[in-house]
Parts: sequence; structure tokens; C-alpha cells
Amino acid sequence: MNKKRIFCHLLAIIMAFAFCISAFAAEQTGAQLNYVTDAAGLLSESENDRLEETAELVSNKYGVGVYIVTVGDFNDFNPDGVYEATYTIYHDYTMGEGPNRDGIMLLLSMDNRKWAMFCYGSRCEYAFNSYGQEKLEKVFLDNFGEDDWYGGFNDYVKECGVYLGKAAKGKPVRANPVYACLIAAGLALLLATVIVSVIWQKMQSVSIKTTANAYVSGALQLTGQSDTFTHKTTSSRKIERSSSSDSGSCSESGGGGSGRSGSF
Amino acid sequence: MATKITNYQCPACTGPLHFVGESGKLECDYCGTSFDVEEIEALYAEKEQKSEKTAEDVADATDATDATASDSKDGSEWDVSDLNENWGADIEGMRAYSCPSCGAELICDETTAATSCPYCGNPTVIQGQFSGILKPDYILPFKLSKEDAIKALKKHYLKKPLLPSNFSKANHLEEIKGVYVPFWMYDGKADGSVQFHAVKVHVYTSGDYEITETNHYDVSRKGSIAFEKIPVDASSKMPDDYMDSIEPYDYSDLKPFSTAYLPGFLADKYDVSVEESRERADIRCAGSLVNALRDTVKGYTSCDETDRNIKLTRGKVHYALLPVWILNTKWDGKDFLFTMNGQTGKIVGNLPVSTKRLIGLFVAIAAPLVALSVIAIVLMVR
Repeated sequence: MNKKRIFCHLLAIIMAFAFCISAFAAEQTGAQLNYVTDAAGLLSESENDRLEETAELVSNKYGVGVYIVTVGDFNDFNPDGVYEATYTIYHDYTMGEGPNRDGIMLLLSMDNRKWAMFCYGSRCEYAFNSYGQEKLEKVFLDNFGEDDWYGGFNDYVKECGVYLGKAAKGKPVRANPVYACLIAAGLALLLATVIVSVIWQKMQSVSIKTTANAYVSGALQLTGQSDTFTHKTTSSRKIERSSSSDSGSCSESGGGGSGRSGSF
Repeated sequence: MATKITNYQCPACTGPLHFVGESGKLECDYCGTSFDVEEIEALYAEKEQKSEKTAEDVADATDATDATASDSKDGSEWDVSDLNENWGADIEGMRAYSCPSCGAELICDETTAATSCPYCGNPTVIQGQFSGILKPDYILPFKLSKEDAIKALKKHYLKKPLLPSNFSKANHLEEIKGVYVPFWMYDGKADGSVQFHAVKVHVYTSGDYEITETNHYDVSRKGSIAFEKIPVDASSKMPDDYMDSIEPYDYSDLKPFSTAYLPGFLADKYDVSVEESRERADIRCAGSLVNALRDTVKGYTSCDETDRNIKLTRGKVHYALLPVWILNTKWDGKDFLFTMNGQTGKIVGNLPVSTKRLIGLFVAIAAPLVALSVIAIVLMVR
């Protein structure tokens, strides 16, 4: 127990140190952290530099900060949850580009293998709506599942560039509504058919009677009854969460923005 | 033996009397005087006794005259030898009566028991149709008039968005008639057992899985239920589904049969026997017992009948005349039949469906639903 506590304190000190260095390096952008803040030490120095360079390039080009933060335990920043911890870091360190502090931050909490993504600012949320965020997570989560940290981060930064590029052209990543519209139209037609059928039935008021309930004299005399349990059948179904990906992530909101969180 | 025909006449002015459902009395068409049914029954019973005595006297006198009379064939009479008195198959199922009011010959269906003379319009009751074992036990007098039936028909057309637009205006009421329809009323008891397969379904989540547990039960219920006066129409002319559909009747108004309730309405005697009608009563008895037993199966998610063993104890059968208004309309060359319970006013009859309106209604419902759902999806996507 003591060893673990000491390790946690050490990690917090290292993170504080890492944040201080990042804050010093990030003075130019107004943000107090670098684009890549690897407090958990997942990346080599060269990997960190390459990612930093790419993220800076993308952020400067589109005016939306693309951030990567890794920590030991998100609870050190906000015990309410990994998403809450992400926007706490984002705001505490005044992250974001431009006057509206637009930016997207990906946080990995390594002790509990949790992740969260936080989008802030109108420009960012235009580029990454809820569908876009859900689609974006698929790009990096498979890498993280295999502990390929650099690969995951690299994919994330590049994909953010693609999303922001499309948004800049006025064609942000959006779900194709045709399939959903067809299903909705089908359901609407089915509902209309049911309503019309009910109205049609009202036109037919003649039918042969099969009971004589109106002519029962006295009540039913129940002379015997038995309820015998015979057997049990069980079936199971994997819950498909509509707002979650295969890794069990879900949509989040709060902190003035929106995002997603889950486990990897 | 000659069939006795009664034409109820007003004791005050000898005008024709007819039964009025609203007042429950016999009313004179001419002077407007009304009489209780019992009052007229007593009057006509007295008349009947007198006429029987007179008939006997006349018969004796006629016998004496006939003995002295001789045929005269001197060419002073019309030759009617070529007129065919044999109606052949056409007369089968028909009866000829003489109207006691104007003497006109009435040709009626053999089951007709009350009608009106096409010449003088007087209501006529053919007493012979209700004599002996053919006499009904009960009659449920008409409570609603012809005007009520027309109003009910118009109301029946309301709130029917699929009805062709010109149906209520253009369809012609071809015929409207109040008929006392013969019914067999069955007393009985259904006794038996019914087996059900019932299930209780419990759904819960365990981790990422939704688990559905289904407990299966064999459920058995035994019981009996008694019935009183299940009506089954005993006239082949009346469609069974229409007669079933205007039920139920309120038997608290049931009266011992009297022909005094018939004037002003048509009446038929039965032409479907007790045995032929019994199956319909049996089906309904069994159906009610099964439903009643099923209602005692509680606490299950679903319950399906798997087997039944029902014994029917058949009790007394009553013969009754029940009031039905029959309305025949014609629209677009097709006949439409409506029937109304002459006691409760329940009216039934299948209505035509306009294809244009059907499509229009479907589009009117479907289009906004489709548009709303598509707009909602597009907004969600953005």
C-alpha cells in the first residue's frame, strides 16, 4: 500500500514537472501546455517531437488546437470522471487557439486505461460534431487497445487534420442521412398504414359473435385451478449501445463543450 | 281450415290501430285515440268468442240452403275455364290471405306473420302463424320509431373519413321496415376445463448482456358458467352476422307474447329450427366459458390456450320476437343493408370505402410523418 502511495505521489510530481515544461514551451500559443503533453511517459522523445510538430502544423493551419495529454490517473485532476478531468485540464491551462480558444483534446489516463476527448469552441464543434467524434475515436482506439501509443496519437492528429480541412472547405464530416431517412420513412409509412387500417375497420361493423357474455347469469363457478411450472429458457443478447462504439465509449457534454469517453 | 286474420281496429272510429314503441300503446291512425295493449286484447278476445258463435249459426243455415240449390249453366255467366288456377312452383312458399278490411287478396311469404295490406294500408296480423306450438313465448316491443332509425343511419355515416363524399347524399333509402324477427333463446350451462401455456418473462442486464429468462407453466382452469336467453335468429331471411351485431337486448322489457304489439310492423315466424340454430348458441357458450376461465389466469406475461374440454348442458329454449329496423339503401348501383336494434338503437352495416379517400388519407397521414422524421434526422446529423 505504501509503495503504491509513494508511486502515485511521484507520478503526480513528474506530471507537475511535465506540465511546467509544457507550459513554458506553450507560451507562444497562449495555451499553458504543449500540443503533446506526455506525463505518463508513453512516447519516446523523437515520437513526442514528431507529434508535436504535426499537431502544431494542423493547429496553426486551421486555428483549432489539437492536443494530446497523457496522465497517470485522471482523478488527480477531477475525480468526477475522465471527461470532467479532460475539460478541467483544458480550462485550467487555458488551452485552445484564437480568441474563442477552439481546440480538441485527447486525454489518456493510464492507471485505469480510460480515455476522453473534449471539443471546445464553435469552430471545433463545427468540425467535430457528435457523429464526427464517434467516427474519430475509431481511428485511434484500436491502436491504444494494442498499446500502440504513437500509432494511435499519430492517427488522431492526422485525422483531426482531415476533419478540420473538410470543415474549412464548408463540408464537415457528417453522417450520411439517407439510410436513416429511409428507415424513418419506412416507419412513418408503417404507422400511417396502421392508422388507416384502424379507420378502415370502423367502416365494417358487422361480424358473427363468438361469445355470449351479455347473457351470462351469475358469475363463473371456478371449480379447479392449477399452475404448474414446467421449465425455464434463457437467452442473452449483447447490448448494442447506440451512442457508443465497440469499446463501450459514450457521448459526453459539459465544460462548455462536448466529447466522448470510454476505456481502451 | 281458413287462416284467421286480424285487423286491429279502433273501437271508437274503426280506423286501423298500430303499435307505437315510444308510448307502448296502440294508436288509431285517424282519430288519434290510444289504447293499452291489454285493453285491446280483452276487447278482441270478447269479439272472437262472439264471432265463433255466429259462425256456427251461419254454418248450420248454409248447409240447409246448399241442399236446395242447383247449378245454373244457361250462358249468363263468364267462361273462366281457360284461367289457370295452378300456380305451379311459383306458389311454393307463398300464402294467400284476404284482407279483413278491404277484402283484397294478400300474397305473402309463408313465414309472414304480420304485414300491411298494399291496397288499404291497414296493418294485418295473420293469427294462424302464431297458433299452437308456434306461439312465441315473449315479445320485445319496438321502442324506437322509423324516424329514430333514419336519424341513427345518418349518424352512422358521420366521422367516417373513408366514406365516399357523395354517399350520404346520393344513396337512396330504398326501403325501411320494422320487423319482429323470430329468435330462439337458449338457456344453458357450459362446464369444462381449459388448458393454457403461460409464460413469465424476466429481463435483466448482466454486464454488456441483456438476459431474458422465460418461465413456462402449464395452467389449468375448471369451471362452469350459466347462460340465460342467448338469442339466435330463427329466420333464414335475416343475415346471422347482422343479427349478432345489433345485440345485446335488454330483457327487462320482455313481455309475454301478444299479437297486439304487431300492428304497424312486419313479423315473421321462424323457419330455422331449434336444432339448426343450436350450434351457434353452443359456440357462443363455449367461447364465453373459455374467456371467463382465461380471465382468471393472472400474473403471466402471456397465456395461450392449448386444449379445451367443454360440456354443454342444454336447458330450456324460448321463442321470442325481437324488434329490428331494416334499412335498405342503394348507391352507385349497389345495395347496402343496415339493421338497427329496435330497442337500444344500435345500428350496424358495412359502409363502402372510397379508394380516392383511402389514398388521400394515407398520404395526409404519411406525408407529414415522413417529412417530420426526415427533418428531425437531418437536423440531428447537423
